[in-house]
Amino acid sequence: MSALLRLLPEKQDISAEIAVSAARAAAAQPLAPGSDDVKKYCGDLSALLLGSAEARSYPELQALGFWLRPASVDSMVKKFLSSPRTAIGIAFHMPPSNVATLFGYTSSIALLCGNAVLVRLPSAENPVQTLLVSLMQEALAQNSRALRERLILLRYGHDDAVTSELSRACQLRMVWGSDETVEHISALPLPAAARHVSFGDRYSAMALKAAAWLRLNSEERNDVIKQIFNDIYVFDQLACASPRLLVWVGDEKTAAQAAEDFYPRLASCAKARGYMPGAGESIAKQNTNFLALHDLAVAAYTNYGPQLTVLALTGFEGLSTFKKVNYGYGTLLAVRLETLAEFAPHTEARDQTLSCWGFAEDEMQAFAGAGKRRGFDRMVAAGQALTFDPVWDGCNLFDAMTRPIGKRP
Amino acid sequence: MTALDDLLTAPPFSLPQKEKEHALLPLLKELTEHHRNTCAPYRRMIDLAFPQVAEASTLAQLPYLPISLFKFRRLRSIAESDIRVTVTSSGTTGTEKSRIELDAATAKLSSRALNLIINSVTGARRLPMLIVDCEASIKGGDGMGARAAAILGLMPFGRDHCFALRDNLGVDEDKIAAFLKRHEGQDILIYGFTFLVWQHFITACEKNSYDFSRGTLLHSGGWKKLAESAVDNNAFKARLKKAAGIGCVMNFYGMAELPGTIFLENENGLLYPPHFADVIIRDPITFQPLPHGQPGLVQILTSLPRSYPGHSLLTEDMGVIEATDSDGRYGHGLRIIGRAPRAELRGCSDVIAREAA
Repeated sequence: MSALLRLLPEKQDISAEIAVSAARAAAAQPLAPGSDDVKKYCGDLSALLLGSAEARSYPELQALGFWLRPASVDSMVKKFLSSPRTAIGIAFHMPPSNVATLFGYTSSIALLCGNAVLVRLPSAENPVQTLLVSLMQEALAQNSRALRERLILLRYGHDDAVTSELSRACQLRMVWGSDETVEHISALPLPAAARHVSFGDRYSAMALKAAAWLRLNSEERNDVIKQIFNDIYVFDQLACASPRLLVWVGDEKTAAQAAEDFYPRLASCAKARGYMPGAGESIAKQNTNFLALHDLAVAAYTNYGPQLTVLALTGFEGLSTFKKVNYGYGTLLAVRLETLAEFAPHTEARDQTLSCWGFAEDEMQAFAGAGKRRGFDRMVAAGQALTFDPVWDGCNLFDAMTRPIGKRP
Repeated sequence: MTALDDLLTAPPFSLPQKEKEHALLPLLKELTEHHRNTCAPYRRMIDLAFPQVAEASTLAQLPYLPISLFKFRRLRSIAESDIRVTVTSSGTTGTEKSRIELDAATAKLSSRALNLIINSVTGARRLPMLIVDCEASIKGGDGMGARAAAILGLMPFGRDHCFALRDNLGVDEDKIAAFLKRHEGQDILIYGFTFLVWQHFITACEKNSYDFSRGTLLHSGGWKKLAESAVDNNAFKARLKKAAGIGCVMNFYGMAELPGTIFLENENGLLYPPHFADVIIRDPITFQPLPHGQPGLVQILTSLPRSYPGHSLLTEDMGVIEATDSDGRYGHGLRIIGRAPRAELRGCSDVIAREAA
């Protein structure tokens, strides 16, 4: 069994056995869901994230800081934890290795729910994660020892023996990763009564209304582009919510005109924001671009510099299979449809987030309510694709991490 | 005689770069047309990614495919019933293997091309041949691996073949001793993958003080596995000279996807393409051709592949053209620097799987 590094409250090498007994000791003193103790910690961490000069250079840490501020936490507690429930006990989280900030959200929810939480951080360090861990440590230091002991942050390699031992001790295991990873971890046994929640590979898209785009003046277009840039390029377009398919809605002429204006703006925004794929990223991107040319019904292939490649499709043939290809770094597939509702029959279970821009409410409703819609768990405004949502992939994380009591009058 | 015949007949490295480009351009354009007409996915990809291909007036304007495509999709320009040989890349752990298919004509062309190059080293004599590998390596299962392809391709240039390694890759010292005794005082051909020579053969030479002073050692397969032990070409040669007296050590560069197209090393460690092939260096981010002297991605152009669209491939090796029509040879002198960097994957997908691989 490989060695574990416990990162919080202090760095120390420990064994899986010690990690488990620490978690058990903490879980033996459950906190009421939505307790003031945890709210205070959330507020302290929020202040540190929003106040630290270093953290201010990372938009993803600012988003977390904003999400953790007292007003936001209060409203979440009210919304998600007001019905009677108890903590689940020990929650064991295995976040993805590189949406580095995700564990900041999920560990806070686990604590708000009253649990002890074991978090397995991936072995590769990165600056955002390191900074977040040190700010969490600072926030914990401002809180009670009892609270400090509840958050057990671990770093260890891919070691099934460790994961198994932690799994055997938990009441809930939550795993993020590729389908392959999720399947692998799911096979490791859990106690009979424990829950397993997993988040595997997903695919996301963005829908744009062409006519609405053309109605904007140049300055307004650039403002929207800045939002869309965040959706696409943060996390290199590789997060499950990053849009990888653009759906232009409008007639042929309008859509062509809008697209012709849109792509160069997006590419120059990406360039201006300093997005520059390296050699490895560019090679990977070219490889997947050729796979797309091979597999899909492509009408036009256009490079707008190293930041953006667009493959305009004539239809959806081959796309369902191609969604499994892990492409990103600024490659967009694009299709055109007359109405947003027409997109519904082309969706499938793998589809997660649809970022929408320029639509009237009834158009969005027509899509959401379409009988032939098979995919998409989230519809968000452009710019919000990567915003953390406590209901993720259709799963309410507050419910998953507590035991709400069922009542029957 | 066709234009390709001319290139396959002339003594190696005797063609000035300008004349070579002049000869290659029509051949490669014809191959592009041939594959466009016989391989539908090739046509689809090329027509979209390189719309100006018909007007190409330089080699750099010709279309290319990324070599990794052969790992994920099967591309061929022949009917399935015409497949004679399937070659697969050895494939490093956890990655997909490339697969290419040869018909009789392309297979024949490949071995003819190889003849020309190897004969320039061995002087067209079949020398006693020591193979630094195990016999099991050439009895592969599904398709032929790169190691097997290289060995089987070179075996016709030798005789009395002796496999120096056991199946567990341990050195068979008795066999080597007997081989040396049989061929005392004769010229000998030695071939092996670079890392096998370094890891297994050299140590055995040092231990047993073999006399291979009449030996010529050809090696290929790259420095990838040796990079971590920080072995460079000079150290490699010096150690072989010291350990076994081998004065003629020649590296060649090629890939499983391009059988017959091998770049042979000169005295200064530069790799030269054969007449029917050439190399272009491209920027790994913009993919634009780079001037000589600047390192970038290696693109290989070759007139051999007719059965699959591999006549212009962008590899994932980094290299630099350090000489043209100088340093004792005509043509481009290439130095391979190593593998191109791998993308650092971010995002929720596949990351842990990649880490675990």
